[in-house]
Amino acid sequence: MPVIPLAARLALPLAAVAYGFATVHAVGPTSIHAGIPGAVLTLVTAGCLFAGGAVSRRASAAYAAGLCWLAPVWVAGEAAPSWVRSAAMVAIPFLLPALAHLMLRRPPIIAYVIMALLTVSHALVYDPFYDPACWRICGSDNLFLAFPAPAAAWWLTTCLAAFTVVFGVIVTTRALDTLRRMTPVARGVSGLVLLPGAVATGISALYGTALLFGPAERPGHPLYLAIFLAQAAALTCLAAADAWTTVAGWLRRSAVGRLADDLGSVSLQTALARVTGDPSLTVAYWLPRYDRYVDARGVEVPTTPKPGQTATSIVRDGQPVVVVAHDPGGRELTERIGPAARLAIDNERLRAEVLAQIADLRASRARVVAAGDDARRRLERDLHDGAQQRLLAVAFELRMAEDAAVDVVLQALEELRELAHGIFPVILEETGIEGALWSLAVRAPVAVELSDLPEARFPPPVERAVYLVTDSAIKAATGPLAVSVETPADLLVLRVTGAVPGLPGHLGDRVGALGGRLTATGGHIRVEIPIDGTRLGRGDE
Amino acid sequence: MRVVVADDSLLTRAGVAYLLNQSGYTVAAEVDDARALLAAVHAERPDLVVVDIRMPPTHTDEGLVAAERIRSEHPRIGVLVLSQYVEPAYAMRLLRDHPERVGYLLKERVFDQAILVDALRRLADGETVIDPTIVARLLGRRRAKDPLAALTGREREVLALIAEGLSNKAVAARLIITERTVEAHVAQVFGKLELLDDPASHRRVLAVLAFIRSGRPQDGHA
Repeated sequence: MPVIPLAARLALPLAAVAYGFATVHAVGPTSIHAGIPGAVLTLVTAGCLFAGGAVSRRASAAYAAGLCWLAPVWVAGEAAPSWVRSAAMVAIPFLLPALAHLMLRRPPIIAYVIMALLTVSHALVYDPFYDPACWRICGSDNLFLAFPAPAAAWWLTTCLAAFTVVFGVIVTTRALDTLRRMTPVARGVSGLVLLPGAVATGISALYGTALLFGPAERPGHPLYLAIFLAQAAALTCLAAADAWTTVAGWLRRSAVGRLADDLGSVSLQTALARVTGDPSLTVAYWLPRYDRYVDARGVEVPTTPKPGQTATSIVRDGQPVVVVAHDPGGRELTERIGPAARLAIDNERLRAEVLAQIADLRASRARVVAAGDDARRRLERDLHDGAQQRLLAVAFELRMAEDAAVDVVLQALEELRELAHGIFPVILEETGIEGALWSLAVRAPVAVELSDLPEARFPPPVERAVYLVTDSAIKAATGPLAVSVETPADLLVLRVTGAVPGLPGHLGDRVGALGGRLTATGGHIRVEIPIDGTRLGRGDE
Repeated sequence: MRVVVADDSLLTRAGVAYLLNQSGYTVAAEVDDARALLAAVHAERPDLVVVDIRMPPTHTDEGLVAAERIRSEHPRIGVLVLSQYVEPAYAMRLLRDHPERVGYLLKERVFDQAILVDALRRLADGETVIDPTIVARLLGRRRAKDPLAALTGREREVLALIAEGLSNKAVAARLIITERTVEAHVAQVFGKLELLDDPASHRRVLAVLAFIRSGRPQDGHA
């Protein structure tokens, strides 16, 4: 925030208020000018607030609009010196481009230039004395007058009115269109300014139309009276909205200061959403090593913001660090986040990177495990459909021939069957954990005590992990084992108790690939696998 | 007796059909998947079905599913499931909903003509057939505490034959003792094991299998 001496920040609004009161006093209280004090005061005060804030280009636009709005008053003011009235006359048409500047946040340079050309040319040839439509003071006191040319002056006045109509309609349409495409949150922020602004520019266009077609301007004429009062109301609202937006921005910015406190307890995204009042705000961290954006949990997120959102990058050392997707209204704020939350950003980004690495590793482990399982399944099927079938055929032939060698073949079949079972347990896929663990227990070379097993089905990788851990434990066991499987709240817990000297390391990978944990300590093997609601119903039905 | 044979392996199908013809059975249809089997059963109304557990399209448990369906739709038709898996779980699954007129035999065993004919005859009589390998494996499994320790040698023999699906009469014939003696043994065994099942019901095969697998009476079957 730029450092502005307190005196200057106080002096500016005070000066503005004084200027407004002086104006009203100079003209005198008439019904026409009832709308002036409010409009002037608020508009100029808004300008002053901007001067104290960050957006000086908008401050100048606000000042300009306020001054232009006052100009007709000064032109008509008897007490004002002629130079003031001459300058005011030139200033009047700039109200419209100044409003456009304020609303659309981009200086309408072409409009400024056209207005300047028209109004300066008009001032050079306009002599109020020859103007039949002149009101209140009609002496020849236009200081800019170079050579009086009433026809040219009339023609230029018409051009000014026509341009006011055209430009007024364009600005109003664009403002309304912008308003329509805004998200609800943005509408609550920038829309507050756009709506009264659009009304004000629309009325300007109406004023131009009235000048082109209607009677010459008479302050007392009901049409012009209505236009004037409506314009005053719209500008008052505009100024109030702009001032409110600025104050709200200040409040939010001071909230950024409190961000550091919040960040201790919640994530950056939550803290920012809370501070900006924009629940749709998302924070994405750039991970250069992975060439992608991730959220705080390390999950990849799309780089393009959602419709109606704006993305603000926080760049450090020429590298993007964070992209905040937020409502367009929060841009200035987001730009300030960088320094305020540097430490939090670094922490969360590191954490997100670690989480992304973990997720990648887990995915790769799962792929390795799945590829291995597929290969074993194919091998089992090949054995079953190939070697086993042929041996069966041989056994049949030998039995028909009543050859004693049939017993050798039957023995080979038996061994082959056990081999195929060891390669891939078909029973597991078909009957689930219950049938498959019983199958293991019945074959086991040691006594295996099974507690009541869940008959529910679980995702195949989960069942396979449970089966293989049990199988390995039984193979390695040097004494009796007790095996239990329980499913407390979204977790599958396998416990194997007994003398098991050691388990193969790949089992840890398998369990880890499922986001679970395998621990083996002194005769107790414990496997925990998250199953969050994925059990698939009873296996035998 | 008319039989439908279903197996996607031509060797097994032809072998079983050959043995059936040799033994005086009529092979009404030979099919190679479960869908064709159900169609053939519907069209031919055979007395018996011999079906491989593993058939197209998924080569998993199509035969078992088809067997369950045939048993529930045509209670008069006996179904013999052939398998290469010595898995008690499959046999128990087969028995769970339809305990009569079903059999589970290892493939290589049915190439013994005597065993095949005996199994089909027992199914036709309304009995159950469970492969002796499965029963032997369940009985022989290692345990910390033998639940059958209280049984005499004769009682163990009777229990094994009951687990294979034999009726009291068939047990008596196999052991060359009187049926009344068998009944006494069965009552003794069920009492010692605290099996609450009616010793005469068809459900006793499943109850006995479950008991010798886990060493305790099974919930829901007791």
